[in-house]
Amino acid sequence: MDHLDELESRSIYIIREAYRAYKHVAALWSIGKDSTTLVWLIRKAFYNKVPFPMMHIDTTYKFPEMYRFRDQYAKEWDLKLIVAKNEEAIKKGVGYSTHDAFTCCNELKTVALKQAIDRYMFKALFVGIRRDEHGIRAKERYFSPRDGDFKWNYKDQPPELWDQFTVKEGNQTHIRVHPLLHWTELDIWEYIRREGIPINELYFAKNGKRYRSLGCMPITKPFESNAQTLDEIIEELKTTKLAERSGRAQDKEQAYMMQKLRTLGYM
Amino acid sequence: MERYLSFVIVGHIDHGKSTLIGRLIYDTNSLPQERIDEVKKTCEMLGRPFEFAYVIDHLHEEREKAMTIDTSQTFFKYKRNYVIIDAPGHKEFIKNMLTGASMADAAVVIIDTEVGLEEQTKRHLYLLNMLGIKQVVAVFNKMDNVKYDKQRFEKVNSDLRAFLANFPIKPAEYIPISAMNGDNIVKRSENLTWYSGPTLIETLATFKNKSDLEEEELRLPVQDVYTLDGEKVCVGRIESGKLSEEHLMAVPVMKEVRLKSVKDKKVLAGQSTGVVFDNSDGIDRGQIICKKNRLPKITDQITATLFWMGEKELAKKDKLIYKSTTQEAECQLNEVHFKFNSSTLEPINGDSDRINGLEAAEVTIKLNKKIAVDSFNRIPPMGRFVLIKDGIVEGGGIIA
Repeated sequence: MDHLDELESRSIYIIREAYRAYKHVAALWSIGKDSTTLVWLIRKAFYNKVPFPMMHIDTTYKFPEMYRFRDQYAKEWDLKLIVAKNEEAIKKGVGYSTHDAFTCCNELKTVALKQAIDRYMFKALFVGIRRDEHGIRAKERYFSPRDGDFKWNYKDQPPELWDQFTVKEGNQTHIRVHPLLHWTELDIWEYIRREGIPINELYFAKNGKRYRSLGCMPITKPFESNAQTLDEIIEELKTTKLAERSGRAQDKEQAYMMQKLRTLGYM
Repeated sequence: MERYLSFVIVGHIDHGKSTLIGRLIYDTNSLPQERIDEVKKTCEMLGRPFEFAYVIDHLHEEREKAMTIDTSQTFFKYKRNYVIIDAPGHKEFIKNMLTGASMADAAVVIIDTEVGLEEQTKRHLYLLNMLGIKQVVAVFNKMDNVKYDKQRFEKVNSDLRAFLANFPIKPAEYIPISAMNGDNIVKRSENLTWYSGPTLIETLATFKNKSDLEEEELRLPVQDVYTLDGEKVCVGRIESGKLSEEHLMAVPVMKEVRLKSVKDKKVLAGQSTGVVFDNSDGIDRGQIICKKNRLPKITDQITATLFWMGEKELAKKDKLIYKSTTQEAECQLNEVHFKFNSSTLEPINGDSDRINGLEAAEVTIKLNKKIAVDSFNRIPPMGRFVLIKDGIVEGGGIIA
């Protein structure tokens, strides 16, 4: 087995473990490269007959290209798609022109997710986070329980020994399952190239700029790049010293912001 | 693409694990400028000098208390790709250390040369041994604090060798370093001219990935059975051997099956696959697909070395769940043959009805049904298990 085979096999194993344990599950699909790779792996795990829905938490601030991509592939891949929004906050006018990034992320993403979980009563959620994305995410487990208040208790996480995951259901609202935890950004791109996974056009350079990580439009900035093909993106990543999420404002606005967001239930 | 080499850094709290990791990724140029700036800013905020450890100690509490709480993984590249697994050195967080170490191909044991071997240094060495990690390198850190003194290094080095005398673990190298100053990690030290051996990175370069177990007997634990287009597909990961069209048998149910098709042509150890048999009645999660004349041991009683990490003791009357690959059974401790301190390795006499947290023991476990096992030394996934008490993994065991 080569490196990508090993990553793939492990992810599929985790996806199947979680589905077996919880059945009533969904995958969060943000339409970015990671969660689209996750959708690809889920399709492989179930031989293109995915038995559970993909859920898009729609802040309404995503790029038009992302909405187009979502609708095209939801149809082409025959996915059950759930689009979840915090309608109440949107009605109240929570938005980037009037509120800070922390409030927007919390209201439009985290609260929207909470509402969706309450409505559909999912027992587990697949989330395409990776350990190398952010220091806090490096501390995550494959199966990560969220308690009744939706919080991540990073101080006392269950051990994960030899692929035996803690599948206990208790007073936690749901389990986050992270099948891509062991992948790096470069791995994702190498795998996208090998498998021919369709990926959003925003990642490819246009007029000397491209996006490396996709979030809400007002707080996501492109960076200078001429990488127009997968080969060029992979070459660029091998030499860059820029952090992947450097274009994502919510990580930096205040120290420990990511930790705060995550303990509140942010993806 | 070549696989990443993953190694865990273990040792007692404060011996410099996080600093070593920060130094490794800094000296190999693997740190984004932004990360360096962020660490600088945090250090200024907390009124401290630049702290390499902050590169990986991200949690608020970790930085305030200067103590790694949870395991984390950091990627870096230096001629090949590495994953560093940081393991906390505090007794309280031993389950996090095990979580980290169980994923590693190799281990770096770090010892503060000024202080010498301590409780967790020894316990971690014991656990590495239990986990079957054979590629180990010992680094003697904080050489700057002992003025790069060769005698001090040799004293601690001989203590380590004496402790390891009865262990199968033999470090590949014993290297004097200073993580703070970057001596003998990536760059050779001018402060340690009396040391002529390899640097840490040169030693890591010689380590290999865990083997794939392709040459071993076939063991395919069934994870689940899906019905796709009216066909039953048994999915699972091939833990060892190769899947072929020979006579197969599902154990412990002892049912002969014939392979009809392999969904994704995946037939090698390590691969997640899906297979269709001529008749899969009675085959569900927990059955192991093997070659008919090459079966594992089928038993409802096992003798094993057990490490108990639970905060609460394990008593004979406790109801437990045994889990190994996809097999699961209710079980109870039948007999505790002997117990020992997992750090000093000294025997613990008396009370053979219970095992306390951080104790290791030779035990017999009685299960409520038959399961399949192989020796850990031959097929590790089939010879190791966890014990679950009240829904939480509290023990890990090895079957010799």
